Amino acid sequence: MDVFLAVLTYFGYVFIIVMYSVKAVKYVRLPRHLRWELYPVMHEERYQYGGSYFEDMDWITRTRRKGWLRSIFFLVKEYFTLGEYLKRHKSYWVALYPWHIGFILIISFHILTFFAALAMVLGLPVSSESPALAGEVFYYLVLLVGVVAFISGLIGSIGVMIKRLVDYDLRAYATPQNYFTYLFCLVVFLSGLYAWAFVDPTFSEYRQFWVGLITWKPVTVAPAAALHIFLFDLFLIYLPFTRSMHYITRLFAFFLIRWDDEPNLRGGELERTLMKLFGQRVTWAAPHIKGGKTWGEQVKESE
Amino acid sequence: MAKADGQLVTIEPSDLMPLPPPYDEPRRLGELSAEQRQRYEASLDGVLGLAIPKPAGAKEEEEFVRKFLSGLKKLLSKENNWTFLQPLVHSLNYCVKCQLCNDSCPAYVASGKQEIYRPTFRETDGEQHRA
Repeated sequence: MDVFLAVLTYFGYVFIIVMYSVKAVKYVRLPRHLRWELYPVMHEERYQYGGSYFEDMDWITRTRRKGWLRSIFFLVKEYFTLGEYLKRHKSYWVALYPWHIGFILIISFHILTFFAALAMVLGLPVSSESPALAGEVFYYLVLLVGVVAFISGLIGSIGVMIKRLVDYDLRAYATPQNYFTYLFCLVVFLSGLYAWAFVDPTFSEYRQFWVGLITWKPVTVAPAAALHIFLFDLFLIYLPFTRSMHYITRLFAFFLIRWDDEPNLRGGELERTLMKLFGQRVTWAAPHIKGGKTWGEQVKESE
Repeated sequence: MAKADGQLVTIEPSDLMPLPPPYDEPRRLGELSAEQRQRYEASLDGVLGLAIPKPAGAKEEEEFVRKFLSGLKKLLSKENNWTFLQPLVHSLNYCVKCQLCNDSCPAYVASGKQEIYRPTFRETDGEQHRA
């Protein structure tokens, strides 16, 4: 059982990382699209009113300054507040927010547990009475983040399920997979909370499990803890088959689509990219389309 | 998506978003004649935007469906749709149907929130979902 759990955990993490990487690369490699002209563009100096560098007649002679920090801060704020939901659909936000915080914190919990276990392997005792400050910090951080993750995620899972069922607009567009996902999340968070409350109140057993993973020496954990680990591993394997990756592709959407405001300068990289795309052949039929000709030929012959 | 016996929605002038003068007196849209309804597909809202003809029979209907599906396939190809492929793939694969975009859609809001103009619209169980 120890070996099975360890192998499943290795597999779960490798699987989700590989699948997400494949999807991310596929997404980023999609061809350059036409600009969507969406404002406000957060890296713009005049973002407050949706302004643009094009407002300056002589923009082409100036060096563009992009406020990258502002864009990053905007996204971090969005991820940690879900501000648009709070503004436009408060009752949905009440359930969605704890659910998403549960996800962010359960990821953080696992990252912290990994580093705490690594520290233990390197000789640092991690406990409330550790002689090293780092050991104490790890202990309390893992404890706090883990407990808040499980509680928040559990409340959120129940909340979003209820909201999807009772909200007229959300219910009509909910699929069976939505409800299955909410139930799966509920079970994962509940099992974690149970394991903490009744079996592993300091997460020391969980840290030992991770020590076992790092040192390739699987350890035995209590059944309740094993159940949570098993469910979490299955959850990692399940996630790539859902739309959960939206929390990563959202970043791409902001930087590659919404905030894409690169000018097409003569001799520039964008021009080279677009010229290649113009060389592709159009196969759809319409009165104004010359079938089989390239995009460039379509434009030239219509002039 | 069409109902066999008519159109999905009838838009009344009172449904529409109020406009400033001189467009503040809502007028009923002209009705299509029986002959026009027989010839053209107007089952969404009784208005013809593209004058799509109704298929003459089962064979033509099959051909329409084949062309539609072929068009969908081309929409997802980089040769035919590099211009919008990345945003389209993003919407298709990562939209979680949170319905937050609805109030940002001018067509949906201005129509008086008619369900068929909702950005995420689809029919469920053969019945149009009504807000």
